[in-house]
Amino acid sequence: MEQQSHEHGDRKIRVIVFAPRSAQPKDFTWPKTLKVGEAAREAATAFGYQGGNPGLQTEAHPPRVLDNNKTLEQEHVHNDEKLELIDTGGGV
Amino acid sequence: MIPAEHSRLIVEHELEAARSWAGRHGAEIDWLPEALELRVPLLQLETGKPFFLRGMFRDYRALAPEWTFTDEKWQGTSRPANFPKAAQTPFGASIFIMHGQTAVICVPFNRLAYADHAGPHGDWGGAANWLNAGASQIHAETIGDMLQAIYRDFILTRERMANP
Repeated sequence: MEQQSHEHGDRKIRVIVFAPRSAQPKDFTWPKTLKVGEAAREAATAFGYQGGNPGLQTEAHPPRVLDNNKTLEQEHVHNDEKLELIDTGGGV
Repeated sequence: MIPAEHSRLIVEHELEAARSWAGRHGAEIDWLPEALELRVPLLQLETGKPFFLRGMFRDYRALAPEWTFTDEKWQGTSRPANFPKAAQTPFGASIFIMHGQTAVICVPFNRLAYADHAGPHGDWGGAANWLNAGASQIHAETIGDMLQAIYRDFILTRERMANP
């Protein structure tokens, strides 16, 4: 059980999420297998966003927008990584 | 419609988060409270060329703010030469478009995108409906969110919409 628990713990990562509407980031602990889009929606809700098309991007310059349909693991999100919420809706 | 002091207080409340966003992206925000004007110089990553993003907040938040790119003197709005040229984005159509002879940041949170303010959209219910308009389009409700939304497409651009 202990090992299972340990393994389970290893399957989760802590992510620090910034949002353009907040001066302070929030911490989230998510399974690596969570889809980016689901993580973005959860983070958006925590920051008070309603509706919209939330996504996540890296803090690289320029930032890399993560694929909402992939998992955090597939997008190489690592423990303690800083990500930023964005809206992925189109123009026009 | 809205007392200027009211709009000023709302903007200044939202500016704390917007300045944090700017700090994360190497941008600077200059707020002119008497004019209700926000100035954000931006550098095009591909070319290093400067662009001058300006927001006007009269009647904010009853109406969406007016977002445009200006010349280096913070004048000459809607001139294509002041705008970045639309580039392909992973999000669909770019938000930088031509409408007739003028350039527009075409998003629901820009007053200048609405037909009642000379913009292309007569189908969004007017600039007072900005929080509910264009549900499938890019969405932003605070100044930080608006800056992020504009910057998102700006950093993908590679040239100006027209020669100066």
